[in-house]
Amino acid sequence: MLDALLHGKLSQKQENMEDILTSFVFGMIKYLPAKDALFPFLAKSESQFGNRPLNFLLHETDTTKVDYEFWPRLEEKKCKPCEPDVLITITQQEPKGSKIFILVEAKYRSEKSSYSDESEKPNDQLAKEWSNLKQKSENQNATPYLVYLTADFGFPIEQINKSQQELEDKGRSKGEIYWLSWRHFPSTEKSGIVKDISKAIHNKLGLKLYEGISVPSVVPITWKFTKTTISRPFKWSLNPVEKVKWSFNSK
Amino acid sequence: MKEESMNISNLITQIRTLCKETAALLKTADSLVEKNGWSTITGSYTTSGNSSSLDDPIGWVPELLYRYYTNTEEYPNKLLYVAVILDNRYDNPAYPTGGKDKLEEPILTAGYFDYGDEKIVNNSVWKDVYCKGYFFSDGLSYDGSIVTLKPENMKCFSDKTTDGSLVNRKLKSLALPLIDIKDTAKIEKSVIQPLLTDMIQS
Repeated sequence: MLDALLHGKLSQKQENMEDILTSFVFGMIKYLPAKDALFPFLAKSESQFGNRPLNFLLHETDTTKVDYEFWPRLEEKKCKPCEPDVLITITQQEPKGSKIFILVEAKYRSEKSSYSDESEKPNDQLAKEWSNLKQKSENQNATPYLVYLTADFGFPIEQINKSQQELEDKGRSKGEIYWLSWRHFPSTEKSGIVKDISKAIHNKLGLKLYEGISVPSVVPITWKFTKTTISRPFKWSLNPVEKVKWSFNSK
Repeated sequence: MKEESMNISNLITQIRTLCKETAALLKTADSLVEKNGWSTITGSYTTSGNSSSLDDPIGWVPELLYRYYTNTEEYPNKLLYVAVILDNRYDNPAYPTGGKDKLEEPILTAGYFDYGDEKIVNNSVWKDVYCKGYFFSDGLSYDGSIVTLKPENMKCFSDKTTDGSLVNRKLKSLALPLIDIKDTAKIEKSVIQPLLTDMIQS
């Protein structure tokens, strides 16, 4: 998949599919040590005010256990069912020994798949996913985080606020919902899978943050069109047209 | 492929790269002002006044790209904008005033109109003109300092209206060389924050 993307073998439609992008990125980095790609990436998740609550991941060691579950179906009590993109379970080693759930809802060119409604349970996609995640975390004594992964340049305030609003309106506490952009995927000069993924995201898909205007070296164009003179007039050869022999009769 | 052909291909690639990078800059500006309660009134549109006519090839490539924002709750009488001006494609003598000088380099300019007691009506915004406010003024340098301008005294603005709607409006604006805008932090610290702070203080 990575090579197909890098070499332009995927159709535009395939490149635009967020499931393929999610599968390609997380499907690759799950085989790498988490500190090489997953943790530096997730650590850039931020709140509306720029706080980075997952920064602690940068200090995790190799002994931290990480499990990935793709498109898990969650259906906790008092929640509508949902199917988020990736559930990452991080189990810290003793003495900390705590468990962390990071649920990733990934978007590329689309927005949320459902919005708030009049029903009793949250229906907005993020609100629904947060409700399930929170319940699941309480059952398993884990700390929950929901990461909304998009192609935006900045925190998608309206989208996340609407989810938080529905949670509040339906008597639930606000969610630990943070935002991350594909553009935050770490760049590296070291060769290897991370560099290839980074190239695919930043260069092939153009998902990078603003890094200034590149100053091109313009080569002067030396050619120009010259006006030519037509040496002889156009000669039109037309086919002969038969004379019309019919006519309308008077009534 | 001949070298000349390659040069043309490179030039076109460079123009498209410039467009993509300018889009990234303006989308970043969108996200920075949105955090402060401002939203765009122009949707995804970023340019206007361009030509599709064979008789006006100069107008095919935009000279400016803009974003206009309002914050109807906190500042119903302010119109904020961020724009990139690439050149003065028609050598329009209306800007800079008198046409004595040319735009010497591509700039990022931003500012806000203060409508006084009026509220802003979105469709009254001249999208292709308002963001040139700084550009219309003579003798200003592109150093990021905020200056106060009087639109009613600016020829290009006053020519646009006969109803006196620009009278008593105030424009505060700044400009920086485009190449100095290196990253998100620069846009925030040198463009957005100074203008929003100025708005609060004035």
